[in-house]
Amino acid sequence: MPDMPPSRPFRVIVVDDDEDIRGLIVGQLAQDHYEVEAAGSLAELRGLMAAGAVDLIVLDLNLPDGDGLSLCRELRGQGNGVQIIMVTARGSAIDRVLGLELGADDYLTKPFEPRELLVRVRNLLRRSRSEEPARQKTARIARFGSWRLDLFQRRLIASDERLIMLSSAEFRLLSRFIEEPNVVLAREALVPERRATAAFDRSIDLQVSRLRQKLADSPGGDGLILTVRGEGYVLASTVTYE
Amino acid sequence: MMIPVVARARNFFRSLVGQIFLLLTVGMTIAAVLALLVAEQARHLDFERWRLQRVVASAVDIAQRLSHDPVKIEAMLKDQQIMGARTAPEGVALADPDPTLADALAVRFGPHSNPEAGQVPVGLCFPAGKVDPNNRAAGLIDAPRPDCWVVRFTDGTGERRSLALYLPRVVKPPSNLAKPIYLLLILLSSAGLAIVVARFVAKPLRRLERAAEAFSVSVDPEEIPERGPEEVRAALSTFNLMQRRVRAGFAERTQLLAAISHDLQTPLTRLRLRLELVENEELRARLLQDHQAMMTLVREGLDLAASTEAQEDWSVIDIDSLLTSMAEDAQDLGLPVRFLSGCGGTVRVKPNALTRCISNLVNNAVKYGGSADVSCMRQGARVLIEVRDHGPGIAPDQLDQMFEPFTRGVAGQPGGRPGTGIGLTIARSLALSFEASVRLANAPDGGLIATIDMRA
Repeated sequence: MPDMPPSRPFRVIVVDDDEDIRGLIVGQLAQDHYEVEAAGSLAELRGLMAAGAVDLIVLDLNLPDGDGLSLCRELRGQGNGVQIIMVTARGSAIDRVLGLELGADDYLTKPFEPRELLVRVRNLLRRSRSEEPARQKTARIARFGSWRLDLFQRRLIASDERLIMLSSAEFRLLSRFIEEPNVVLAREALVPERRATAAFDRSIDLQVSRLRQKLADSPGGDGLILTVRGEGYVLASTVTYE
Repeated sequence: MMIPVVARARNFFRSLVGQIFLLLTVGMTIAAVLALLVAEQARHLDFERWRLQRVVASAVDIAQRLSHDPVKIEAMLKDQQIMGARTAPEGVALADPDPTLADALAVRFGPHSNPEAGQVPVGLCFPAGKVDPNNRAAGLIDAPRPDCWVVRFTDGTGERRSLALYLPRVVKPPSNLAKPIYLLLILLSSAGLAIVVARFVAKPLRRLERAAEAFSVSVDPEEIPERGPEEVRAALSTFNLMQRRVRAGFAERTQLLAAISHDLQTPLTRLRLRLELVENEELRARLLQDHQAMMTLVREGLDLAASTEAQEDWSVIDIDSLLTSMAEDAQDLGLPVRFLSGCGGTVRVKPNALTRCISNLVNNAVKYGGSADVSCMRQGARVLIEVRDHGPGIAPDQLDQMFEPFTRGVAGQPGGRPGTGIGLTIARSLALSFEASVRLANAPDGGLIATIDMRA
């Protein structure tokens, strides 16, 4: 996090029943100078959480004294906003959508690329520090205009229940608009990952126009994203979560 | 105009219904005609017997009268005073003796009567004299003339009697058998019954055929209701049992695959994390490659297992938005994937299954054909999604084989490059889950076309 040095190191807890994996993940995360601790069961995790504030939990679902899902639900029920990355084996009964629905912030399948885990941990921690208005964690649907956006499945749902598929770029763009409705967003704010070149990047305009085309497919959808000359774009609608 | 009719007739007679129909119609017609012929013969015999009985009745009557009053009756016979009987002229030879009649007379007169009898020309019963046979009233001109019989026997006193008996000719009523209207009636009723029977027999077979067809396109078809006659019920029940066993075997195979793949993930995760600790760069790169290959296999094994469990809900999706967004995502990753043309409108599918199915085909096209062109078209009530590449294609005799798991084309051929070889199997299995099919074909101008064919 070169651009935002933390006042204190983040406290991260890795929960996994496999001792080897636990140790290896701890080793990986230690590279980023977090304060990393390991827990082999829910009881150990609870003990560590009681000892002090925790910023992020890397949570495996299969634990000897219970499953991670109930813990996840319990924490959210208490209003605990700790970031949770759920790590499960592919093909288990829990898929990405269910994981997110139960309150995880991110979801990763084993075996994962160590680098991928590092990136996701960084992203989540940055989000928690920047204190942006976090949306209701378990909200799955964002409603704007006559459209609904399924935030987990990444699809648009029209008023007649028809599904409109979005590309990843379109979904990222639309998510940015929905996070800050009725606010004029400059190109730099729309695609933070391309901040340096965004001002001259015509492909952003192209993506916005594609997104507009898709949104125009439902009644009242053509006036949702407006161009503000010289400044950027704005989503002219209120957003509600359900 | 004629040719389709002929072709349809040929098809009909090749079918089970047609053959049963033909067999029953011809068979029943022949049987009916034979039965009628036998009845006709019996009628003829009855008629003959009845005719002879009348001759016998006359002969017996005259013989009784003779035994009561021989002198008077002999005189009356000579004078032709009895209608239907007279003394036979002398010296008439029986040209055509009738043994049946003689036997019937022997029964009545006793064994010593030694009867002889035969039909003779009618003139012998009416010798020239009082009546001139050529001189008759107009009403008699074309009328049938009486039959004339000569009967000889020895009576109780030992005297040999010789009588000429005549009877009105009785004409047998004509037979109905030869009339075409009756034959037609027989034929039509046979055909009518035959078609009913043929359909009745073929109906359960049809049901079985339809069930087998449903089973061939879907792994999870409904069972056929076990109704009908006992043999049919037994066949249907056996079919259902087979269907259940196949399904159970299939599920077991899938579970095994899923279990193995699933359990490999923990050691693979450990391995992947440990690889970060390998310091020799070259060794690490090679190990990573091996790890990647294993992971791909595990992932596809899990995908294959998951693809047969159709848990996803049906949804109506905007088909073009799916194809364009997939092409865009691929382009963002730097893959040569193009979206050529859409078909507009919506289709009812299982969206995630369709997405993964298309993405498997696109990945194959990119991997083996160098690029992928995605397009969509409507054909009647079907929607076809085509993924084509401009690679070398596949030898026509190997096209079907490509759907078998772990097939990657013959080694040394352009298609025979590394990959798990489950991609197409997964694609087809996914397509089945939303009642679609996947076909492969070589494009006429080179390259391979993979088509997903589904209901609009």
